[in-house]
Amino acid sequence: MSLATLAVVGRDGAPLYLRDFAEGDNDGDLFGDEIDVAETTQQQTAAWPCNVKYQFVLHAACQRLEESLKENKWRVPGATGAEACWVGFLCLSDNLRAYGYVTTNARYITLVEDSIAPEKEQLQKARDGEVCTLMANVHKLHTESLMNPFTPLGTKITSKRFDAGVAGLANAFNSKG
Amino acid sequence: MSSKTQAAQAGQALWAKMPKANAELFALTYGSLVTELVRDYEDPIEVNNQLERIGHSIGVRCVDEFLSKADVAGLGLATQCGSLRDTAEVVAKCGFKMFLGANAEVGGFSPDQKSFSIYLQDNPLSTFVELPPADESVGGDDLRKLKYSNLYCGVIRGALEQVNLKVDCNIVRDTLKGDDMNEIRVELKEVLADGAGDDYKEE
Repeated sequence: MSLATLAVVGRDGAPLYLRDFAEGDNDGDLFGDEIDVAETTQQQTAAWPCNVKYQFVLHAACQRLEESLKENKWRVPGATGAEACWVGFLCLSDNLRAYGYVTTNARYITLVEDSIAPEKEQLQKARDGEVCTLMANVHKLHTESLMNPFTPLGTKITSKRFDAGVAGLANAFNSKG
Repeated sequence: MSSKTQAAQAGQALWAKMPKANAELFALTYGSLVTELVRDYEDPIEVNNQLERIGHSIGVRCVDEFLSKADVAGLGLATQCGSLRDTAEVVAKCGFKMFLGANAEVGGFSPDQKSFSIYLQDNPLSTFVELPPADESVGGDDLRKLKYSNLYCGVIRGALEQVNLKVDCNIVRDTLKGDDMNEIRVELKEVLADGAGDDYKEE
């Protein structure tokens, strides 16, 4: 079960960072019709390195996350640290499980491939815990990138250190699963 | 050789006695100072000059504190440095250690013994800092030309000026630009005669 996508979204819902980690080829042609999408796909990927099909799932997850936050019942009472920010499982779409993690500055959404059978609850819970740790580490990296005096606040994350850190975390996560 | 270890030990002892501050707060404060200067002056070369002037002002005041603390600690620094080599050791091992807690090395002495280099592995001013890439230049200026730690140059220049050594300092290597360590080159321009004597001679 591997990490497919990571997204960092601002408090208002604007995307700050989108990245996918699957090795599949990124042809934007999702519908198999004859319209040529190669050029726009390249432009789109240069700006936001995330396959379009994941972005659809991310939008759904984002909406679910906003609903949960409005209800305000997601927080586990008495939790501290990473557990306090952990919203948890958001939705399942296209064999991808979406998880949310909310902090003061941003919201983090990850999409993980769903390959654990529904009966194996313990395994699933363990995996969820690992996703939570992963997102806590991404949160730490994001905070460090915000400490750079040259980053304008609330804009797209362009820090190379953040990129490299996230890639490292993703590799570690994938190699464990 | 003995002065080298003496200076290092003195530095350690002085650092232990100095009041400490939060490193993140320090780095963030300096970072916002630099970004404000960049916003005001826009030209990176001008910002470098401003940082150097600010550093000069700090250095002129710091050197008194340094000499008095070293005196109180009885570390024999009241006796003059015999050569530029000793000065270099004291600046790097005692000065940098005492005020920043940073471990600095000296080296790169020129054949005429008039210039040396100070090497800093970890720069406390530039924790978390990443210079924005060249193609995303802010309104046309290239922040690659910015010498982020130019404050150090000013501090060294100001401090040594108070002890009658006129020096020129430059940042030669910078970890923010991809080099493996930070290097500050210090060149002795002239040894000033003690200014106070002249007025009395007139009479």
